[in-house]
Amino acid sequence: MASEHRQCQKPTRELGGMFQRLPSISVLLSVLAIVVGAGGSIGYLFLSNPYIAVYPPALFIAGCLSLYLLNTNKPSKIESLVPKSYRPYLIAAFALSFVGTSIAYLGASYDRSLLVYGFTILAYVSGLLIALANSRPFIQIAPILSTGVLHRFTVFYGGPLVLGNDSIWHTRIAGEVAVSGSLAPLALEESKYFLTSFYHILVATGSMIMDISPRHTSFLVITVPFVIIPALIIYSFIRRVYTPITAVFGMFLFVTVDVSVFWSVLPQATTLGAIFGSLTIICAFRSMRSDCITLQVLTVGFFGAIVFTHHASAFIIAFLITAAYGLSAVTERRVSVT
Amino acid sequence: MKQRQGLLVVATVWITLLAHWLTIGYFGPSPTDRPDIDLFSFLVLTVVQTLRGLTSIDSQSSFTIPDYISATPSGSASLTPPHLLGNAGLFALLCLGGFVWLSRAETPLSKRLTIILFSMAVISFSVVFGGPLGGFGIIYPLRWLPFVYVIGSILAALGVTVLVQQSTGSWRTVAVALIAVMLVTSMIGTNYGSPDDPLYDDANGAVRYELTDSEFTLVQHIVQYSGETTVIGDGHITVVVERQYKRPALTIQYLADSESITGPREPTLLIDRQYLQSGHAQFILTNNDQTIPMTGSIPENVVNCGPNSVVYDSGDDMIRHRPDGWC
Repeated sequence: MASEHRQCQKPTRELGGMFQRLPSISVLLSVLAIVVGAGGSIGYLFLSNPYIAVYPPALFIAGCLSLYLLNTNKPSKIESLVPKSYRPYLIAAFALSFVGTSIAYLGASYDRSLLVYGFTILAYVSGLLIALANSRPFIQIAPILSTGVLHRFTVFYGGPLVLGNDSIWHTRIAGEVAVSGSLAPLALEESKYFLTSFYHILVATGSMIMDISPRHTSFLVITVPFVIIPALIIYSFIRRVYTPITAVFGMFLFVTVDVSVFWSVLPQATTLGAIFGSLTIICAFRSMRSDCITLQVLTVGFFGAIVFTHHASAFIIAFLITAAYGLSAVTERRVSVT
Repeated sequence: MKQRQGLLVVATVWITLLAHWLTIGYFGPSPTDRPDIDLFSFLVLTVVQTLRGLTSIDSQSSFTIPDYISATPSGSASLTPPHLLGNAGLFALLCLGGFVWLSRAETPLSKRLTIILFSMAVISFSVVFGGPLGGFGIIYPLRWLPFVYVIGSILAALGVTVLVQQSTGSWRTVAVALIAVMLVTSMIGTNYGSPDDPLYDDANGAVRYELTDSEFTLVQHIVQYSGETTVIGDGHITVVVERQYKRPALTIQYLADSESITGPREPTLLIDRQYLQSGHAQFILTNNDQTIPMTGSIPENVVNCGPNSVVYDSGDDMIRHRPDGWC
C-alpha cells in the first residue's frame, strides 16, 4: 500500500532550458500575432468571409495587448475581485433574475422573449460576481452552473420537438431501442451507429428506468451533464494549476460560449462524445504528471467509451491525446536535459 | 510519466480506433441495397475523392448566384460578423492568456501546462480553420469546437485574469462585470447560441430549428394523410418529416437556368411554409450545371410554379399538391 502510494506521487523537477527563455518567446509570439493578424485583415479584401473579417483583427488586437502588458510591471496577485460587502445585493440580483427568467419563460408559454434573454444575461453576470465574491468552491460553482442549466432548459423546451437535424434522428432511435429492447432499429436503419450505440443505449435505458420520454431523458443525461462535467473539469484543473479566480472565469466562459450551448441543446452522439472527451483529456493531463497506472487506464477507458459513442469524436480525441502526450514528452525531455 | 507509458496509451488509442472502424459497416451490419463497406474504407474513399476535388477547376468559388435570389451558400458564408464577434473575442482572450502566461506562470507545473495547452490550442485551431480554408470541409470544424473550447476556456480565462489585473480598486468589479456582459450578450443570440430561434437574425445562416405550433400541426397532418407520397420542402422541415416520421422527403432543388424545381415525375406534396421567404430557408441551387446548398429566401414564383393545388392552409403555412411532381 505504501509503495503504491509512493508510485502515485507526482515527480517534482526543476525547470530550466527553454523555460527560462519564455519571456522572449512571449514577445516573439505577440509580434507574430500582430503580423499574421494584420496580414489576415488585409486578406479580407480578397476573401469576403465573415470569419476572415473578425478573427485576424482579434489576433492583431491580442498581439498588441500582449506586447503592452508584457512591458508593464507585473501586477500584484489578486486576492479578491469583488468586495464581500456586495454579496447581499448580488444574491438578491441573482435570485431576482433567476426567478425572473423562469416566470417570464413559463408566463410566455415556453417562449424566449427579450425579457427572458435579459434576465438570463443578468443571472449569468450576477452569478459570476457572486462566485468572485466568495472563496468556497460550492458557492463559486452553483450560481453559474444552475444558470447554465436554466438557460439550456429555456432553449431546449421552446418547441414541440427536439431541436436540430441529427438530434431528431438520434432521439427517435433511442426511443425505438427502448421499445424494442434491442439494437434492431439501428440495424434496420442501416446505420453506422449499430456498433457505436452508447448514446442510444444510455438514453433508452434512462427513459425506461425513469419512465419518461427519450426527449426528457436526453435533457437529463446529455444536456445537463454537458454543462456540468466539462465546467467542473475546467474549474478543478485551473484551481489546482493556476488560481481560484481564473478557475471561476474558465468555468463561466465554457458555460456561456455559444458552441457549448449549441451542442448541449442538440443532444446527440457528438455531445456524449464531448462529455467523455473532456474526461479523457483531464485524465491524460493528470497522467502526464504521475506514474500512477490508474490514470492511464482511465484515459484509455474513457477513450473506449468515446469509440462506442461517436466516430468523429473518437478521431478528434485520439488526435488531441497524441498532441498532449507528444508535447508532454517534449517538455519533459527539456527538463531532464538541464 | 515515463514516455514509454505515454507511447503505450497513444498506441492503444489509435489501434482501438482503427480496429473499431474496420469492424463497423458504414451502412450498418447488413445493408440491403447499399454496399457492405466498413467505415475505414469508406472514409479513405471520401478523402481520396476530396483530394481529387481539390485539384479540379470545378470549385464553389466559381459558382454564381442569380441576382434575383436573396440567399448565400450554406456554411460560414451565410453568417455575418456579429455572429462571430463573441467567438473572436474569446479567441483574442485565449491568445492573450497564452502569450502572457507563457512568461508569467510562476510554478514549474503551471509553466509546463501553459506550454502544452497553448500548443494544443494552436494545433486545434489550425485544423479547425485550416481545414475549410484548404477545401477540407470533411474534417467537420463545428464538431471540433466543443472539444477545443474545453482547452480554449482555460487559456481564455488566463486572458481575462490578465486584463482585470490591470484595473485597480472598485474598478475591478466594474471591469469584470463589463467583460462578462459583453461576452454573454455577444454569445447568447447568435445562430449557435440560440438555435431555437436566433435573436440576431440578420444573417441568412441564423436558422430557426424550432417548429412553430402551426408548422408542427402541418407536419402531423402530412404524416397522417400523405401515405407514401414524396414530400418536398426546405432543408429543416424535410429533415423533421424524414428523421422523426420516417417518410420520404426531399429538399427543394431549384434549377436557376429553367426557373423550376426538380423532383420525381410523380405526384408530390410541397410544404410551402411562411419560413421559405424568411431569408433563412435551406435549399439546393443549381446554376450553370453547378449545384450547392444555399440558405436564404426561396422565390415565391418558384414555389408556385407549374400545376398545383393547395390542399392544406393554416393561414401561415400551406401544403401544395403537385400532380406532375416538378415544373
